[in-house]
Amino acid sequence: MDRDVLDTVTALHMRSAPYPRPPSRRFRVYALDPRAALTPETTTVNNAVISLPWEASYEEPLTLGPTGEYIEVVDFDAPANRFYAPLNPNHPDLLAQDGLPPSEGRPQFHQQMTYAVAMKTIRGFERALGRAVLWSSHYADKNEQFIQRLRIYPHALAEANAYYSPEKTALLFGYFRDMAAPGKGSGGWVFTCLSHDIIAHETAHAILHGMHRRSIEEIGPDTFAFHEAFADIVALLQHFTMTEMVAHQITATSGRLQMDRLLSGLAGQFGEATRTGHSLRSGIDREIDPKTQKLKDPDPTLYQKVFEPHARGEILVGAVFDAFLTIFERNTADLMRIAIGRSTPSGEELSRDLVNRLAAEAAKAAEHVLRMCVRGLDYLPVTDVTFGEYLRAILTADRDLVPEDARCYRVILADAFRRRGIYQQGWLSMAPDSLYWEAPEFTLDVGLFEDLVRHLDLHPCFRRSQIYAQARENQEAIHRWLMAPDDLHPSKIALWEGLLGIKLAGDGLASIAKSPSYRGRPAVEIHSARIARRSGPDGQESRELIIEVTQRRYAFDDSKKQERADRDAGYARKNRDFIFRGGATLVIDLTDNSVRYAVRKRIDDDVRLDRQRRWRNGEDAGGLFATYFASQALAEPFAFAHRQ
Amino acid sequence: MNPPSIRVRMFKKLLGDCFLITIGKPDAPREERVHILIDCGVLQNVPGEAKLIKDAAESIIATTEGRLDLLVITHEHWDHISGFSHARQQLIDTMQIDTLWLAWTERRGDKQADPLREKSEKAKKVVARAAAFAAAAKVNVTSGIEHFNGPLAADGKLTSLKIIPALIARAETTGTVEYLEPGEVRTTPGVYGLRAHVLGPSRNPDYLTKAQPPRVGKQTYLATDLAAALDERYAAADSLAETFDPQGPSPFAKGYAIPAVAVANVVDDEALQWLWSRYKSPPDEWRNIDHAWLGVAGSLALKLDNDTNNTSLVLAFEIEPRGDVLLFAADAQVGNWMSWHLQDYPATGDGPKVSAKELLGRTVLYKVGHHASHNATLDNLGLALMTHPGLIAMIPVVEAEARRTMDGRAVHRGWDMPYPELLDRLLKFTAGRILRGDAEPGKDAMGKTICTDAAFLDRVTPDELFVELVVR
Repeated sequence: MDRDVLDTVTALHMRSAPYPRPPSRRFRVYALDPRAALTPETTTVNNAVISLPWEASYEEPLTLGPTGEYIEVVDFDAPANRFYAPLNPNHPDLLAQDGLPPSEGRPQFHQQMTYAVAMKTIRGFERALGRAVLWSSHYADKNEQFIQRLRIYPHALAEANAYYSPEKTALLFGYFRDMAAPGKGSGGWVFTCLSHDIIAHETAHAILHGMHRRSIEEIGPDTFAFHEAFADIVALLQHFTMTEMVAHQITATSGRLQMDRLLSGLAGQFGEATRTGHSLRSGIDREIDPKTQKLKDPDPTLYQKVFEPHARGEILVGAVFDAFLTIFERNTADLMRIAIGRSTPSGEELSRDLVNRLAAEAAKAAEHVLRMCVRGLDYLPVTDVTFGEYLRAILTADRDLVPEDARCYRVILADAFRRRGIYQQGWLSMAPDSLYWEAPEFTLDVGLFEDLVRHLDLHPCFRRSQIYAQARENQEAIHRWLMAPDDLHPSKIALWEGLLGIKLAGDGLASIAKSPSYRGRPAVEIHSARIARRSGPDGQESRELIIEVTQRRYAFDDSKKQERADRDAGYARKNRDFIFRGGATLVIDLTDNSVRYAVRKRIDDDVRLDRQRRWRNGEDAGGLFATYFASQALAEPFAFAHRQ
Repeated sequence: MNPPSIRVRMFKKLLGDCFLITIGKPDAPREERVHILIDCGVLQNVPGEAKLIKDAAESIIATTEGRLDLLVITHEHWDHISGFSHARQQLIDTMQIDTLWLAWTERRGDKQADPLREKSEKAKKVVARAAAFAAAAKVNVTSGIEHFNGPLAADGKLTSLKIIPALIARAETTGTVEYLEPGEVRTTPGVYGLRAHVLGPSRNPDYLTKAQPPRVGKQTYLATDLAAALDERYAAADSLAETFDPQGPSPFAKGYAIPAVAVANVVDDEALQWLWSRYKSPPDEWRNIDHAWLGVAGSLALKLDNDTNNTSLVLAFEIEPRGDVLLFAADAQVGNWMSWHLQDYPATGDGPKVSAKELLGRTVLYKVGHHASHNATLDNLGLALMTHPGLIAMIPVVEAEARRTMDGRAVHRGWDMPYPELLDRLLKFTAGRILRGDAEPGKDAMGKTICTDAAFLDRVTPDELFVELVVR
């Protein structure tokens, strides 16, 4: 007998039980942007509701601003030198109607929309990655400081621009007048903070920078292009979470998503208002062949010729979106066969049920591709990431999560890259099997990392500040362990130097920066240490420890000076032209403490150094911009990217 | 008739251009000499700028005896025309100008030139305002390049917008004004004439305004309307102008606005207190964005600088038919350089037309743009084609005025001039035969010897104010 239930004494005390915590908060937003509300085709689906999980007990409650665990919106209109009152998201009137109704003229709605879309992007990212998002820390007087919240300024600039500021850990959104020809545009105001795509894009920049602080150092042609492409991929794939809009477009194109420009285009209102006449960028990088109604083949020579970051990034975006479309088509082929008797549609009207199922499949495919792209970020090399290396990282990470690729997603993705000419010298083939990162080539003592793991604190934390603190402590513990002087036997040193791609002994290249605390020895940085999930062979979830070990070397534009610097440490430090980095990303399986992968960029790789040198002094390195604005561009790298 | 002697005089110590060409024996009577002046300017805020350029003006008047056979003004930047403001009396009011050559971009009433001038003037005004605003707030957004546009108000002297009209007015009274089109060949006036090939500026908007013009050789059509292209390019100027206008339009109704001054630690107003705690109280001030919006002025200034440079009138003077060439490329940027190769140039008599590549191959004197910005394109289409073994370069730069020091700290302006890679290339191509505005002939700015070619050094006459090269 259940005594508690029948016990009337206890029942009296339970008169005022706490209400259950709501599962979610809902905010109304524009699915695309305000312009889409003007055309009959899109106005019905332009209003969307974003449903965010209610704050967990270990998260900061949502308050005025809106200010929450991850974001604070501060509405300072800098050009006009005035503020707008902060939104109170807990006001009962707003909770009862899913927040403010969409409105261009009310600044509080702008605050609501930027908050909601940014949070949606963050949550989607966390779901894909399997752990919490942390922002890049702030450096004040050589101390690293944890930054709890990303700041959003919805009305920061008076121009057709929006950017992420790494320096301020903030998103700055601009507003401007519609400049399009009288027929199309309204001459009214265009707010980048009301573009779903632009908010998602800028938030993705912030998240990526938080994961990889050095991803914004311009080292080669792919660096900025990768950042731009990744942000576009996140924004694009997020379109497919808006099921009403997707269903609407599937109906309009009869299930042939490759013909849809709305969902595959980015920032439509912005593009039109700044006279390009169409979306700012698109995920579909080729035309449709009118005869076959299929997309033509992409141009594989573009990757060798195009270097402007946005244009180059479009190649990567095109590859990922191509894979998404292919996955969608293959996953829905059986539905189509059941419904219309053919694998692919050819323009007939589809039934409501079929459209809903297709929309759900599109959402699933998008989520799947996003997860592949996001998890790949954990397996990147420590510096100078190229598109080809990103592909390898994605494939390796995906294999670790889903060992059997029954639906051939990895093959599809690798093929999309291959058809765009994204490969690197030395690759045997583009089959996924030959592209996974390899285990280290020499056999390592099994107990090598067991000792290290004992020194680390690996218990799960939930508060983000605790996660950050734990990671910092682990980084320091790893550093102490690695630099411990008792392991100085030459063969051991050679082993570590080979494994990590850095120099540990003091008699190597003199141009490597010296350690401030270990006299005479090269400086080694444990850039990050984090835990990632993977699934074991028997379906169990297990965890991996991923460590990034890096080192700096003083580098010169003139190879003769470099030779001198490699022998003379003082000369190197005083006269260097730029910094060359090397190191390794180590992936350690925590079930048996073995090293699964060591992704190396060796510090003594002079070929790579020469490549970086030539990029620095190459085609676009000169010009008036370099003459006048070099130091400013270093401070705010993304601001100038959109102003050319 | 073959000219007996040709000298080129470069005035030194200016961060600006001022070149006087003398054809004929220097001691011959005035009617037997020809004097051509190409630009006369010193950059704003160079110390002692007025005196420097006045001294140059005096030297010009003395040598030319108050009369110029030909005056060439390449483009509107202050460091090419400020001399006419500082020394207005001598160089305009009392100067006898026989012929004035300007590019088509200066013609009033021209369908392309008028919108080009009008829109860039408007944008320059906004940039000047933004730069002044930023300077008052102690923020650097434009790196000082708005100074190439000259002062907006000049205490009674001519501003940059007024100089060229004043010169046109003067030249129309004392002689003629001619507006040059690319592809033409004109003979310089006077008793000895040189064939001057007009290489630029191009009328094609793609080569006039774009930072990255299309590759030469591809089909290009004059499809883009210049006015529309400029509107798009300088669009930020409109936003900025509206922002500076206190009566300007606002996207939100007045009721929403909270003036910045009203935000304080007001106890009974939750909104104000919250805003104050987020934006005005330490320790989060490093996250403030007070001046980020001014950053757009920097890129706008850069575009304007590039475009004005690209309107440079570029002349290749042939000393004798099919002979050596003196190349005065003003401050032409990539677009202008590329456009030289879009057309061929008429030769003397009925001979085959001459290509830009051929003219570059015959160049013996190259007046380097003192911006001296360099990239691979300029090199491939310019310097790499100057294959004459006797090539000499003249760079009217004063590095100490422009530069930043090696460890990254800015000295005066923090400008990278002359661009080191370009200087290295020039040294190689000319075997050290470089004449700089801040160095003795045969030496670099630090005094180190870079050239010991006696045959070359014998042809150079240094002076307090200038260095003069005997070309023939």
